[in-house]
Amino acid sequence: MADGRDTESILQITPEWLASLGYAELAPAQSLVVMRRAYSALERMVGTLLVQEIRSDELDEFEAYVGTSNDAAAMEFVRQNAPDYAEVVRMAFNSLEDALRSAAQHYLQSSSEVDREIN
Amino acid sequence: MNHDCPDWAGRSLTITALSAWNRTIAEEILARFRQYAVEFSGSSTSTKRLSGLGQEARVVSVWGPKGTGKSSIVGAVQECLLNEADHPFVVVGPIQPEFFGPADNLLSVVLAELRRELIRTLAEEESPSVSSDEARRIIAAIEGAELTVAVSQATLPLLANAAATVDEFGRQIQRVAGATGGLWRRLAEATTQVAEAYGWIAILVDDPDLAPYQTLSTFRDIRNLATLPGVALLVAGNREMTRPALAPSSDLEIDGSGGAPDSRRWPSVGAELLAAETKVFPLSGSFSTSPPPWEERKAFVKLGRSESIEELLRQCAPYTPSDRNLLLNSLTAHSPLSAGYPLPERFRSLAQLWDQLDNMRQRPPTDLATSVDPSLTMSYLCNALFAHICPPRGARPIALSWGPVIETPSGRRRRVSCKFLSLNSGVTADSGFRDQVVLESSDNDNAVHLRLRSAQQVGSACFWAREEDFPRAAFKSDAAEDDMAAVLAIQEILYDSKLFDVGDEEALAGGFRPPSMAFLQVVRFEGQETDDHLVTLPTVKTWSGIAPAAQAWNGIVERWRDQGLSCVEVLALTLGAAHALANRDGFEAATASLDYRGALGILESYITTLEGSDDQLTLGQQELVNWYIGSVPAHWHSSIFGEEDIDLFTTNWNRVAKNWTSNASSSRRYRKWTLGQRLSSSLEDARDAGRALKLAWLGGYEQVVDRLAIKVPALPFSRVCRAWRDRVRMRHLGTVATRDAAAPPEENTGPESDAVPMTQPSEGADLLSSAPAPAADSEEARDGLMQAALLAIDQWQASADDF
Repeated sequence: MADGRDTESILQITPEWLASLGYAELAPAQSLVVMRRAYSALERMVGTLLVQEIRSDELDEFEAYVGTSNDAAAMEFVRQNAPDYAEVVRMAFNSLEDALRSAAQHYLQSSSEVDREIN
Repeated sequence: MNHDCPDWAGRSLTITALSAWNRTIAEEILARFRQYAVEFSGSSTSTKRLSGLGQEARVVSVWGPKGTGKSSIVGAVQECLLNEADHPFVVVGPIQPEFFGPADNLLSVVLAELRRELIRTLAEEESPSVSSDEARRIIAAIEGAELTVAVSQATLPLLANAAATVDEFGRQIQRVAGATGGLWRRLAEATTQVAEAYGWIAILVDDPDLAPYQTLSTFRDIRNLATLPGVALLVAGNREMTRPALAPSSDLEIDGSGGAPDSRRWPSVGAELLAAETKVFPLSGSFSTSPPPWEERKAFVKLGRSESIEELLRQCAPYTPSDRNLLLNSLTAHSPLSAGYPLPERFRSLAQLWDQLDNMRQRPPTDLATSVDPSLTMSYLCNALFAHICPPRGARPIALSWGPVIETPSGRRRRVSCKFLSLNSGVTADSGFRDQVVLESSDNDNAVHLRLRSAQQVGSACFWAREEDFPRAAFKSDAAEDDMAAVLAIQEILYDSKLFDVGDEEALAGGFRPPSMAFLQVVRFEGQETDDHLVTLPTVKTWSGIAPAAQAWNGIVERWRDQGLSCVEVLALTLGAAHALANRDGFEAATASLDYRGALGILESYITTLEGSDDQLTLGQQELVNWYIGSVPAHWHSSIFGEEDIDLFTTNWNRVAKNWTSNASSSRRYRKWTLGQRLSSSLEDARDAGRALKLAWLGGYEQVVDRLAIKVPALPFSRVCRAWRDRVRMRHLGTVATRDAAAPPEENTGPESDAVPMTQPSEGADLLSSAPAPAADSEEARDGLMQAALLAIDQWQASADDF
């Protein structure tokens, strides 16, 4: 990473991560669908949270970096104007984990109840 | 067994002129008649004359709705009996009681015909098998019987009034037998003599149930004639029409009374009615016809002729422009996806169409540009097709009005007015592939659920679906697929024959419309759901265009699922398919180019070529132009293409479209489902800020709206544009920040497109077809778990305001 953080500090969206939340039964392709959707939602959530910290005219500057594909400048802009971005990502990530874990538990519980009723 | 008849009147006639099933029936009937003849010739004279009313009637019956080939069977059997070598028959008929007057009756007509036949035979035979004295004695016996029948006529109506069933009539007629001077004894003697001298008497009766005055007495005569020695009857009718006449009710039709049947009791069939029916028409000799399947319709040959309808259509090619046989295409296009076909399923209609085509091929047009004859002849053909469409149905052309020949910019054309509207209020001619299972489970839902499936999954289930804007109550659920196919075929002939000036295209039926072809049920831009009309094909308004369009669509769906194509690649395939279909070329989705720019360039070159052509556009080409102008700009959303791409596309659009928007229908850019119309209608609902935020994705069309000068409500559009820009910046910010803190999932574990994520359970299952196949119950559980996860993510995302 650009700031030299080791890879262990990077949040990982992997099949193992998904399995730890209660989705071990999913087929590999199904896991990929969920992971992609999760990552996309995470991006949007982080954007939603960070944009509240930045003024509109500053965002114009950011858009100029993005428009010219200047990734380094765009990243530097984020570090300067939203220094807590990593914490925001982690907070959103944890929240997403909770939502997914809860959904898996609820689904499995509902399925068990249905099975019991059938049997 | 082979029942081919020998040469007759210079032609080799065979029973194979019938459809497969009806041919089987005819062969079986012939076998019955031969059996009767053999048994008769082997019995003693005294035994022959012991026949009476109590004996089982020798009636072979053929049942079926009108036009299903009953008369053709009778005709085929007649020809074979006339040429029977081993067991000669005296063939009487076919007699058609439908044309009887009030004073006619079957018995008198049969005797008169029989006498005439014997006199003719006597006169024509060079070496008579019967001496002239013997022949005269037989003819005199028949004349005696005729006289007796005439005398008894005064009595029969009285009997009929007293006895409504054959059974009852039989008992009563025994009481008056002496008064009628030995009617049945004389008849038995006469028929025995005829059968011994000339051959078994075969009486053919067609449609006795249609006798306008005396249906019941006709059935009674059938029953009684069939118990005479040396006589057998072949009767063809419609059982549903027969039963009311036999019903033991005094308020049903009585000889000469003309009373109407009581429809309140139909179709109840009581034991007494069945007994009467089987007494006249024994079950052992009862057959049912079957309407011809598609291949047999194309292969239909009129009785006594040799060419099939398909062959006649091929010979009528001079009536169609250029190198294409329009008639063959529009009337014989075969779709494995569909149960509806333009050619009628009734044999009578097929025979009439056969005559029409036969007449047409006799006079091939020599100069399509100036001759009036082709349009006149083609008008007759359209009328013939039109006539077999049976109301009431979901949709049909209400009127075809043929006008004068006029001068048009494209040459001399016959003006025609055609209103393809519905008989039922509020139902339009629309179509699509419906998922039967979904429909059956949604009886109370007014929405039409259209879900495209592969050909293999669809099987033969292609139905005409009503327009979703209209209530279910207005849709006739038993609408025949054939009717719509014929409507579209007539439409295609009218337009693409280049012989007619049809008028405004808006008066025509819809054919396939984008919603029925939209397979990406949920399209997302930047996480926002859009409508599902981004990926479309041109509307298909012709019958011969339906099958290739549907197959192309299925091909795109399959490739998208197999290869995980991006949205841009799917759009590129639709461009290629649209071009190929309008040009009536085959489209191979599996090998077609995925290059959007290239496909768009080819399409635009083609449309430019059409504009410069002197030829009138075909209906398919018109729809291609409409689609390019109205719907293709929907592809150019800023989340799909970059600014430079959109600039290029819109520049070219303005160059290509300008020649079409001025001289054609002004609705091209604002027809239903076009980008302009959809933007306008969506923005009408987006006046408040919350709604504008939900529809923010519409703002991604800002560049297109500006460059194409699409008219949209200004204030709502500025709101959605602002919301869209904020959303895009927000997304970019989130992408940059997240990328530095969280690793995205790896790409190499399966196909999926971010641009068009799947959310429907069944579609998700289709998408994941490359995964190892688990057990059925396990697969269902996995799908459920995946859906639970996706739902949780969506809900979590929607809760952003809570942070």
